[in-house]
Amino acid sequence: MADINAHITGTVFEVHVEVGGTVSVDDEVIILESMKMELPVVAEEAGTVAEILVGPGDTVEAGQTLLRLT
Amino acid sequence: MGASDMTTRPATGADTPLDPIESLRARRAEALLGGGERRIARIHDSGRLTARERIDLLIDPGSWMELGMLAEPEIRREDMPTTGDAIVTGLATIAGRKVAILAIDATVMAGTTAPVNMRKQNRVAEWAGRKGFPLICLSDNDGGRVPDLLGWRFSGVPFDFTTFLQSPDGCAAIPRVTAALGPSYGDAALHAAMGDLVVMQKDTAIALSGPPVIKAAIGEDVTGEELGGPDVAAATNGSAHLVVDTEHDAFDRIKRFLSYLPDSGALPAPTVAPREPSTDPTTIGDLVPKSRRRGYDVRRVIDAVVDADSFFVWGERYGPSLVTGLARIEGQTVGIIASQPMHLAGALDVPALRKEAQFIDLCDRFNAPLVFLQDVPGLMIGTHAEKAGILAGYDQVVTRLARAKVPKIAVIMRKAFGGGHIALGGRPVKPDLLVAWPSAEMGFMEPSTGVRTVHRRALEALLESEGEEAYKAEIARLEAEWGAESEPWEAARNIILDDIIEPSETRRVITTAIDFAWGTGPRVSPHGA
Repeated sequence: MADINAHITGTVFEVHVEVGGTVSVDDEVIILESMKMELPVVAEEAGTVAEILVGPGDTVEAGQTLLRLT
Repeated sequence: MGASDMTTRPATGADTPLDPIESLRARRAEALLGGGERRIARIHDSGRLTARERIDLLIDPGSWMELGMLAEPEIRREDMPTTGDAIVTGLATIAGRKVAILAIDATVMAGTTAPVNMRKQNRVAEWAGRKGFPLICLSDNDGGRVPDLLGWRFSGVPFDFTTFLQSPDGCAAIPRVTAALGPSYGDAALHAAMGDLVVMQKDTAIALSGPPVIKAAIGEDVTGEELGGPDVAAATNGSAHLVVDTEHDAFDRIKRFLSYLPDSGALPAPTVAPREPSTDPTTIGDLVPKSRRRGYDVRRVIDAVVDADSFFVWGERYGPSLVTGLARIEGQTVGIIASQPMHLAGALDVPALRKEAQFIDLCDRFNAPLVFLQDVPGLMIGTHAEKAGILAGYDQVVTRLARAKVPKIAVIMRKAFGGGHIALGGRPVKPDLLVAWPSAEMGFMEPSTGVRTVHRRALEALLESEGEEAYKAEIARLEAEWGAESEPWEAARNIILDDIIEPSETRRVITTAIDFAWGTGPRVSPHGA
């Protein structure tokens, strides 16, 4: 079980995974938008997506959990 | 010998007065015990090590030569140990290289500072500065001692700032390293302020004054952590360059940091066996997205430029829109300065500029060529940046960088706009080599900001007369026109750029350029020598 957290405050631009999908190390799972930049959030470990906690357009704070892997 | 070892056990049980040799042995034995077993146990219970244990973990076994072991404070105490006047100082080797060490002894009078203690600090600092080897401060200190520093005594403190905070006139710069391993207030904070590397254990704090003094003086109720813990010292004011979990980690980092640097600025930086990068350097172009709006982690790009496992990040949490760190390319020390688009899109704010100026100074004093990897939308603008002093921050970087004498190699990977471009090795700061990838965009300001500024009145009139669609179409047309001007080709035709290179050539070009930029003389900048 691993959480993937936002590294920066911004809005969710795109979600690149679905619940039940598999994720490999270094995959860009979510793209945030901040300072007019699209900032990829990268998986640091492999797993299966258990839960996605945000959707496009949501505002997120740095450190906030975006999705959970099993 | 080690900092905790005795040469000979003192004689005990003698009824007659000790002879001079026995007296010396007894005094040494007492000094080695510091504040005594009860106070040592208290330090251990708090998760800390004693000054002598720290020294032994840091140095080569058997290399310790102590200076000032028999010191006692000017104002003696009957009711508590005062051995060494709360500090252990001496000379030793680390990986066979000479260093001077001062380790504050928190078992003696809480490690507080007083005149004899200062004299000891000054003695080893002068040794290091005059003889040309690093000075390491292991800090764990509650600040100045009373009444030892009260009244006229404070003005008479025996610190000599011509030799203590800097090398004596005519002597080479030396690496100064501070590890904050306990609360670091007062003089200990002064050591931190002058450190080329300041590493802090995560539960400590670095601040000018500690919480009790602050409460008494200005009535502010504050914890050490709020005052100078890692969120302040490493992330907000940049006093600390690295935060570590344990004291052992701190010693590892100190040894590693010193491995990149010469003993003093008069000598070339040490070299080691070259290693291939951990990421294939010919794939570097794939690591930088083509879309100018897409961020990425520049640390991955650095991995495709430097020797495998050689990157030592410096000041990671302060000014994170710029990554600075020591590394090796083909076994030779370099200083990497790279835009980090994951933060502020890579724009340079005041913390990033302050960090850059300090890092340039470090590299120029210790003969580490500067390698810039540019992807910068500009300097940070707006009221916050102005109040923080963006103009002075920029001025400080470009004046220092222009005068730096180590090789300066700049590569534009993507964006190179405005003052940000200049501050990262643009032509006015005199880089030895300035090259760009074909995908580079260069200019006074980013196209999207630029067209809205220059054509503001015309665009507003268009919006009013012909509506939003026409307005957006005109912006797109102007941005495309501006973008064409931003391509690197014209800069190469006018020799603003020395060349345009394929991304896959980056490591090879940097390596060759550093070699030629050193010229034929010794690989030493006059600023450290």
